[in-house]
Amino acid sequence: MEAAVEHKEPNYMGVFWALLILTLAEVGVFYLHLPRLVMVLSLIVMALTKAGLVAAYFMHLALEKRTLALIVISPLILSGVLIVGLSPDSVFNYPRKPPERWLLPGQEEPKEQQEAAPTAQPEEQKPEAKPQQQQAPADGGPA
Amino acid sequence: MDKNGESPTMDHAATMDHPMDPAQPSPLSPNWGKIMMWLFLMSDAMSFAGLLCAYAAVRMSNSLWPIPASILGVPLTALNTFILICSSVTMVKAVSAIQKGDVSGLKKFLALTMLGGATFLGIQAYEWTHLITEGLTVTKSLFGATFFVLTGFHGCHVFSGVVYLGFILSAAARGRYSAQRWSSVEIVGLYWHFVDLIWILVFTFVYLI
Repeated sequence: MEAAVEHKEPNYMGVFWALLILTLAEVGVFYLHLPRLVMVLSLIVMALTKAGLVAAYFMHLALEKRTLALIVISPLILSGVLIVGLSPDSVFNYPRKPPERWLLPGQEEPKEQQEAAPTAQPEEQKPEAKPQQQQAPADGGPA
Repeated sequence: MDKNGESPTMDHAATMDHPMDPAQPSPLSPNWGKIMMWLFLMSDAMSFAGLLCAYAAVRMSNSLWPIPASILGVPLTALNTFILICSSVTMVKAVSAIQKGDVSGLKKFLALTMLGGATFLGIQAYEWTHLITEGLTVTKSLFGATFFVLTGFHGCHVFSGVVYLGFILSAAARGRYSAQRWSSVEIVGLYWHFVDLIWILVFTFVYLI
């Protein structure tokens, strides 16, 4: 334990200038009207770089024992899992109403969906056709 | 343990006299106060990650999401980001001052850090007032809801940080810290840099992208 890294001070002003330049670069990229994908990717890379600089040098993570860095990084892996878990919600346009096959046998289709359908129509008659009917309004839904 | 600014003999004395001293050594090399702060910060990071992921999910599934800069003011917020980064620099200056035993430098830089935080909050309050009078509120739209929740949650952290720094500053004024005893200053620094780190992400994801 005594052999731990001697407390040498990182170059704080160097980190400050790096953060300042990256912030200016971010604002610059924002005003350049680059293609959206390029802009978003470069902004994310710059933001994560800045966050890493703050954690490594201002918060001394680079100078601490490796164990502490592992303690810190492990929950961040879980937040990566969170992003992956939420991504279906953002990438696919799920129908806002549950598909018909999820309804219980006694339940009915909401009436505003298809006025022509008689209310007493049994649900089991065309279980294949109806989900497709429902896709159409759902895709145009957010628009 | 020169790492904590204390010689082994000092360590032993501290263990005997102050069983709850944050500078007490732990099985891991950093002292336990620091590890506790790191664990708190990581759970806090998960809160922010949850909010940011919810924001991303809501935004990406909504084709009518506005370009944020058409509503929010980027130059003013960039200035605010700069102020917060500067306050992080004064915070590291405060820690390195007390590591050299410079108590008046510690007090000066802690006060400057608090000033930076307060300025940040003032500019954010101005921005919020402006946006609310323009008609952007939490209940008006999902854009407003995510914007105010994310920046507000972060603003609460800045406010708590300024209060926390105030306690440390008053302890410094009472002569609690010295070249041998500065662990609490380093720990408040961890919190403050974390708030800065989160703002870097919020600024990018909420204002620029």
